[in-house]
Amino acid sequence: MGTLGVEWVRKYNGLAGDLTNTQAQAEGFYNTLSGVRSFNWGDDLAWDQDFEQLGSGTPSSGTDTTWADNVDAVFFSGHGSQGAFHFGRRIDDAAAKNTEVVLGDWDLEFAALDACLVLEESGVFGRWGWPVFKGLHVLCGFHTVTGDEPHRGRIFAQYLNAGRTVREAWIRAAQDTEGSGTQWAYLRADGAGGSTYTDHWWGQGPIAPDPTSPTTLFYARGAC
Amino acid sequence: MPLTVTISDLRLPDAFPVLRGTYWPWRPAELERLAGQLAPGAVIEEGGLWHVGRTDRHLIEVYAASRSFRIAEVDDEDEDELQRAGDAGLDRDKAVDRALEYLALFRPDGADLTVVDVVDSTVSVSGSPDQEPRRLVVSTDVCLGFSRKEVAFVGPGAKAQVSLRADGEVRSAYLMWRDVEEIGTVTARSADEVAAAFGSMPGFAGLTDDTARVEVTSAVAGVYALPPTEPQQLFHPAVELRGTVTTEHASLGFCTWVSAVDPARFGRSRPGERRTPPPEVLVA
Repeated sequence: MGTLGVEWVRKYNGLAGDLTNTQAQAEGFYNTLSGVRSFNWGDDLAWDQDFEQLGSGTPSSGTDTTWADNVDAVFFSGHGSQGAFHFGRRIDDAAAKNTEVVLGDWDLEFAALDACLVLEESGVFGRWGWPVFKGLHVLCGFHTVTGDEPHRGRIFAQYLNAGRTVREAWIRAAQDTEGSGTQWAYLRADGAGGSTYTDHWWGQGPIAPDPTSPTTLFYARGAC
Repeated sequence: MPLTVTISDLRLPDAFPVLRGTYWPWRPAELERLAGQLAPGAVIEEGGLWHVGRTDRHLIEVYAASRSFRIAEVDDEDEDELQRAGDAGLDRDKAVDRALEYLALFRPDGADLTVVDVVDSTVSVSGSPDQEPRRLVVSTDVCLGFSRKEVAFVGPGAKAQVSLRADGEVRSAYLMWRDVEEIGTVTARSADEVAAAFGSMPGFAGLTDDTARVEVTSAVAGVYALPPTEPQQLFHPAVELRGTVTTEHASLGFCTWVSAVDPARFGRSRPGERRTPPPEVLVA
């Protein structure tokens, strides 16, 4: 059985506008996906360093081997931009930047960043692709801005529990919860061991071996 | 102190219709007919969240909570995104014609279907950090929206999409809809009232005009349709706002919804009935 964790931010303490539905969205995923629930950190208890690699970036205080990279699936709900996803408390610098994030070298297979623009197409392989994928299978997100809405985490988990592949579940959940002006996106890595195209959540179907040294990266996007 | 928000080009009617969803569970005969139209040979079995039917080529998912469905090709085990992707998608006009022809069988009564956009669904492949990625078109997606008596539906739950291969074959499609009845009208907020409500929303409580700037890049008014997985009794008039909020820390995009009517005057489908809470997405 897989392990999972979520982080969400509603209160940005003046760093940005607050959000309304991130807690419901992330906890919908947390409470619905079949698996072992490892952590649920929200607002001032959600920290960027939980996603960052120890020794990367400035300050280099990452603790991802305790949190985001220590589970099989992680879901973040909050603000995003092309180079970072954003937190409300300056424990570190309140942004998990692509230059500080390396995922899958410890445990993580699947990540969803439910935030605006993180996976915007332009330059995505250099931002969130080659530097970040060190065993990570699939990274789900959005090419455009996306809605502050409460249902997507639960619906994503319901599709995963129903046996849809990770990429299919994300596309369906995005289409079910967004207007057609929004575009879903994902990045995924293939390694020498096989293709992650048909990866499922643990217990629901096949999963490829970890692509610790990816041979090919795929980026897909489409309209919700 | 509320943030100053300006919304240009927002068209609002004087009043919105009050729409009530008329729900009934899918009947076995309806599921059988739908299966025959979508993928002959499929048998749709009643399930929990979705009623599901399969053939060796297609997967059909029918949403139990609304009059919505989707159909998709089933991938072979050794396939990936590149299977049947090409350098160019289907011609836009051909795609629209093909999509409207495909959806003709399924158009709900009392709703108008309008093409909103035609977007290529793409895949890019990178073989190394030093190599330029290769970009291919997987399908040409015709996105359609529903309206009723010239009032559009906004939000996720009233729309359709047909994804077409370059040869015109349907790769996947969905239609999201609930049948509705009009039970009255409600006075709309003005554009200035919508802007003021948005600027005063609790989410901006920590910001002032000295510390933040709000830029609205698009504003669309209509009646809000929940995701097709959710039951819906009343359709709340709303304005979808997209834009950016810039602070000293960051410039961040948003997509949010503001009530297009006074929320205190909306929520009961009949006098004395229990009040239907507004959708959770409404921030003001």
